[in-house]
Amino acid sequence: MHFSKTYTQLLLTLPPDLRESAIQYRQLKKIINQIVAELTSLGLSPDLLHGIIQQPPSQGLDKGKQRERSLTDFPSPQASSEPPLHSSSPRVIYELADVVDHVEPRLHLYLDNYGNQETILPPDVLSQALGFTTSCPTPLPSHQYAASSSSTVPSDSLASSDIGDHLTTKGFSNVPQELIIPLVSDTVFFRTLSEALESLSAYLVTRKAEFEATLQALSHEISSASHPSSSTSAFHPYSPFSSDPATINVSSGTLVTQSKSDLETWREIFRMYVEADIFQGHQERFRGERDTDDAAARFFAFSSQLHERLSEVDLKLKLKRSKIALRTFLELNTFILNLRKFQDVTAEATRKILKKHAKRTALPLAPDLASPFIIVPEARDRALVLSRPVSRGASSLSLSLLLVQALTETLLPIIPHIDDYSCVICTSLAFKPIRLRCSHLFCVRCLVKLQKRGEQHCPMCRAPTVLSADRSNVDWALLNFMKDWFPSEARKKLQQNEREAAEEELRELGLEFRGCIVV
Amino acid sequence: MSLPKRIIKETERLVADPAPGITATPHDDNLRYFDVTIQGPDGSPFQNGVFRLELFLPEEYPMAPPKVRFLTKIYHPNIDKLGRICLDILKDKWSPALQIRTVLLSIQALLSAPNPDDPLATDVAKHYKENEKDAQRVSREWTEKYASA
Repeated sequence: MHFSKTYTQLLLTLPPDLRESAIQYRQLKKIINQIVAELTSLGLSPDLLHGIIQQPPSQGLDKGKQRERSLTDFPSPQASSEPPLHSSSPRVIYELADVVDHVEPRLHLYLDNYGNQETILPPDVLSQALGFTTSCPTPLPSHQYAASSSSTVPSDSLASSDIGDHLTTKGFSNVPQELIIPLVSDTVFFRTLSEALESLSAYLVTRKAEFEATLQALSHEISSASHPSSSTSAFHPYSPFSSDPATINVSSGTLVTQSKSDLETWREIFRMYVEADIFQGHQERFRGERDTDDAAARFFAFSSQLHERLSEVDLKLKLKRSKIALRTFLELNTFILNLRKFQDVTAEATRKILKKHAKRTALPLAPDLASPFIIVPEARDRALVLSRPVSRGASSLSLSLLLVQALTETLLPIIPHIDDYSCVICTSLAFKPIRLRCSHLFCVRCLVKLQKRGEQHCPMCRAPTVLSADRSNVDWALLNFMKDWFPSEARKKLQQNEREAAEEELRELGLEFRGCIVV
Repeated sequence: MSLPKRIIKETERLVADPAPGITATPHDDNLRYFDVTIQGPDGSPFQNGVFRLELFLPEEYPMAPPKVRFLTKIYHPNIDKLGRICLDILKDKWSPALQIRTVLLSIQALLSAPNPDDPLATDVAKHYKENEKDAQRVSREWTEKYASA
C-alpha cells in the first residue's frame, strides 16, 4: 500500500553503496506537498485545476511539446505553442520550458473574456493570479500571437503595461490573454529528481568501470588456471610430415590432462552456467531478459548445484587461484543481480513519484519529460540509467544486461566450447577432423560412412566434395588443437570410433554378432 | 541396442525446448518412435488445426531420413490418403545434417505452401490447380472436421 515503506525495505536488501545512491522518495513526496501548497496559494488548488486541465485522453504518445486541454473540444495544436485563435473558453496549459540545462514548469493561462472566465474560475482566483503575476501576461492581437508567444519569457517586464493598454482599450472583448505562472516548488521537484537521476547515473558509470576491470583480471586468472596441455613440455603435436596420415595413431594414453590445470572443471562450470540461462532466456519459448525474481531464483539454483558438486568429488578445482576466481565470478553475478533489483526499484520509484505528482497537483505530465523518465514495464530496457542524456542515447540496453553480455563475452570464450568443434552428424567431437574441399568439417567416422553409402554431396552445402576426400583432408592444425583443448573428449571419441569400425568390419564379413543382418 | 548419442541429444532438446507449434514425444518402449503434433500455420487453410503425425528413426538414421506420416486426415496436394508426405528432404534430398526438428518445421512450412505441381494426392492437386479457392475451402472444412483440438 505505502510505496515509500516498501521502497525502504527493498533498498535494505541491497548493498549499502547502492542503497545510498537511491532516489530520495520521501523527500520528493514532501516537495509535492509544497507544490500543492503553492498552487493553493495561487488560488489554483488541485481540485480546481482538475476542472480546467483535463486529463489527456488515452491517445498514447503525444508528439506535441505540451499537453493542453480546454473545456471545449479543441483539436490540440501540434508541436508549437500556438493556441487556437478562436477560443471561446479559458484554457490552462501546463508546460515545461527547457531552460538551458533544466526544465522549468509553468502554467500558461489563456483567457478570452472575463464573462466566460468567471463561470469557471472564481473571481478572486483570477485577480489573485493577475496580481501575483510577475511573469508576462502578453495579450496580443491574435494574428501576432503565434510569433510572440513562443518567445515569452517569464521575466519580461514590458508585459504588465501592455496588459493595461489592452484591458483599457479593447476591454476583454475577443482578444485572448495570456498569463504565465512559473511554479517554483515544481521546478525544485524536477531539479531534485533529475539531479538524483544524474548522480545515480554517474555512480553507475563508475561501478561499470570497476566491474569491467574486475572482469578483465578474472579473465586472466581463469585463462591461466585452465591452460591446455600444450603449455607444458609433454605435448607433442602431430604433423602430416612425420607420420603417415592413414595410420594416425593417436594413442589414448597421451590424451590426458597431464599438467595441473582446471580446464575441464572450468568447462563444466561454464556449461552449467550457460545451461542455467540466468539473466537472459535463449529458448524458443522465451528469449530476452528475464524478470528479476526469475533471474535470482535461477542464480540461486545454479550456485547451490555448483557448490554441491564441488563438495563432492565429481567436480574439483585443483588450483587455489581457480577457487579465488570462482568466488569472484559468483560475486560479479551477485552484483548484476543486485543491480537488477536496484534498477527495478528505481524505475518503480520514479514512475510512482511522477504519478503521485500528477495526481496530487493535477498537473499532467508533459510527454517530453515523461518519456525519458517513465519506465513503462514493457520497455524495462530503458531503465538503464534513467537520466535524460543517457536514455536518449543510442543504447536501449539496460545496464545489467550490458554487464551480463560483457561477462559472457569475456569469460566464456576463454575455454573452447565443444559445440563449435563437433561433427553435425554424430554430434560428438569431430575427431579425427576431416575438412572437405567446401570447408565443412566432419569426423572421420561419419565421413567414411558417407563414402561407403556412395554419398557424393556435402551434408551442409550439397557440394560434391565427399567422395573426393582422402587422407589429405585431415585437418592437422585442428587435430592438434582438439587434442590440446579436449583431451578426454578426443580420447572417448577415438575409442568409440575404433569400436564402431571393428563392429562394422565384422558385419561386412558376415560375422554379425547381434543376429540379423541388414543389407 | 544402445541409442546413438545424436538421437538422445535431439530428443532432449525437442522435449526441453520445442519449436513453436510443434511437439514430438518419444514412446517409452521405443525411443526411435515419436508421437508428433503440428499446429496448422496461421493464414493457411489449416489454421487452428492440430495435426497428429508419427515419426520413426530407422537404424541408419541420420545417414537415412526419418520416416514421417500424417495420422490426421488432411486435404493437401502433397499428402495422400495414407498420410504419406511428398517432401524432397524426406527422400532424395535428405542430408544427415538435417534433424527431427528441421524435418518437422519443413512439414509445417509445407502446410503453408502447398505445391500442386508436384502432387502426391492427384485429385486434391487437380482441385487446387483448377479452383484454388474452393480447394482451400475443403481444406478448411477437413481441418475443422478432423483436426480440431
